[in-house]
Amino acid sequence: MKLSRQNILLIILTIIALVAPTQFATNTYLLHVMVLIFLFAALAQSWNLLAGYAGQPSLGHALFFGMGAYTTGILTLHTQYFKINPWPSLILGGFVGALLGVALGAICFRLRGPYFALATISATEVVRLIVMNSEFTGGALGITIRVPPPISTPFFTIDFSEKLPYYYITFILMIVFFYVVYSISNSRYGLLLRSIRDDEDAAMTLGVNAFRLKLFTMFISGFMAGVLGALYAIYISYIDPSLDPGGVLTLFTSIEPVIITIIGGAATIIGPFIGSVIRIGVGEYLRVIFGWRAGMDLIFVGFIFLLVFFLARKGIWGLIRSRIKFK
Amino acid sequence: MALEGLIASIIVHGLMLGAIYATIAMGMSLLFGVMGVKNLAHGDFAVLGMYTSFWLFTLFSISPLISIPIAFALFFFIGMVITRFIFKHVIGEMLGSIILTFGLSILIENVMLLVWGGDYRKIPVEYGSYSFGPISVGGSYVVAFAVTILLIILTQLFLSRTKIGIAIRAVSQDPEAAETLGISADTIRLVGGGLGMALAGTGGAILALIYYIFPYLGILLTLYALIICVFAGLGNVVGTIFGGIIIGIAQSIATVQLPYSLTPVVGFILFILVLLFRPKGLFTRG
Repeated sequence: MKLSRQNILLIILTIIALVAPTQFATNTYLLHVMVLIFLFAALAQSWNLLAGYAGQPSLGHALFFGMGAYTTGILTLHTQYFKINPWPSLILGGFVGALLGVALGAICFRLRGPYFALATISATEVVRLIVMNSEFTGGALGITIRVPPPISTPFFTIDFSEKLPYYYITFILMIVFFYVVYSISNSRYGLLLRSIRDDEDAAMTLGVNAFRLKLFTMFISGFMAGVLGALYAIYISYIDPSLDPGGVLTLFTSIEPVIITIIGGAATIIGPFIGSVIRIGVGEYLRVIFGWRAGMDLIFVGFIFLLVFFLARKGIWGLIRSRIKFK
Repeated sequence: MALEGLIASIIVHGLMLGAIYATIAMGMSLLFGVMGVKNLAHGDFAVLGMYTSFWLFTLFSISPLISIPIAFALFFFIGMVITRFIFKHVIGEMLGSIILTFGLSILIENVMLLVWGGDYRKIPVEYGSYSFGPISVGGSYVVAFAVTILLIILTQLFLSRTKIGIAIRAVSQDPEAAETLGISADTIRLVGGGLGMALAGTGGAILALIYYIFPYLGILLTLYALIICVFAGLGNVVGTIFGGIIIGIAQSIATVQLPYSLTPVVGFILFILVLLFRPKGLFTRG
């Protein structure tokens, strides 16, 4: 990685992000918002890989995210080991998400564009309804997860009833996922994905095995979403199977990364982060101001969404970049 | 005897619900045909139609039956305005229209939530109950079904017999060819967009007779309409009626066989199967 001006800027921002919590560690609400921003930026990035780069507009990301959450939930519900140490379930949740991704892809990748999106919505809803009606998964009541016990190291103790550990975990996960998608998009593999997105038939004529590549992308994207879902379940300590906003397997969850990525800019690396700051940050702020009236934050989001559509089809980052280039 | 009665009753109720879904889906199909716009906010306009009927009854005690033509006129107008100012930007753009109408859907749903709250509302009217042999059907179902059938027949007649209706179909099939024959595609799109939205609003106003009204119902109605459209093949208006009936009946059978909260599963599984094996629709050749 050579030290261009852009990279120096990124490193400075990273250091600020790592040091900043020492200044506002007492402000738990701000920390909570930051955790959500990082978490949903990472989720949006996993959607961005699949939809932005590979051109497969999945509306089933809740399936991976939610089943990742349920992996943690089911393990803590039924086994003693995971009650004490739920952390390995992050990896397991990732694999559950990845396998579901491959399974969903194997069924749905025969369909293209909007039909693919519809099939993924339906599959997610089928799974949600089954999960909600099964005893094994805690049924309609959902699963409550206990706060993980603190981890002691010789130097300090990590107390998971506080927000600070989650701030660092989500931040690091976000950086890792962003880096993974960044390296993919700059590799030969990323180029192949873009060729599929732009013209699948032409790519296949030139010998690109589109089906296998799409499945592999689904695997990675599902893995990321699964890990994040498992982490989300531990962080929120509750898994909500309902149809209302907040339920992990609902269309609302699937839509969240779509909104974030499109506002920020699809098929860009920075886009999902910008989108997340706007969607989660401003959304939470509005929810505090207009707390007495539900839905105000989503009205704002819908409005921004339409605005972005008419003013900047490539999202906010796309707009910024085109402005910078022309100067 | 009792079992036969039950089965017959399931099928009759499914048929009636399905017919209403079909009108909403017909509107979506029409919008797609005329403009190539896949309207993900369609169910939300149907819910707006439901609220129209509800508020006209609550505030002015206007009978829901009179609200139906009012909703038709109102949503025809709304549809023309939206076509003229919003859909115009995404004509023929599949992905663009999805993104745009998706944003519209979020906006409408949450404005409804903000203004009217999330309560489940119902119009408190009763039309008694009718018995046909072993089957007993609520009066509001009968009324809703009669109005739906009337609406579907009128729409069909309009599309197949009148000049404007034929022009709408011409534009759906090939806008350029239609223009060379002296049809103004823009004007026809305006009428088609108005009619498509009017069918959503009217379908909603009819649905309000028999169903609960709440803001987030929109997304479910949109999904049903999409499923029905895919069953029928997008743009195929007649097929939507059969698609609607299939969904309606499948759901009401599921209501008896499965726990209540599991019923939508049947529709979605049917949908995935159709997508996989007949991706161009059940009622299309080839």
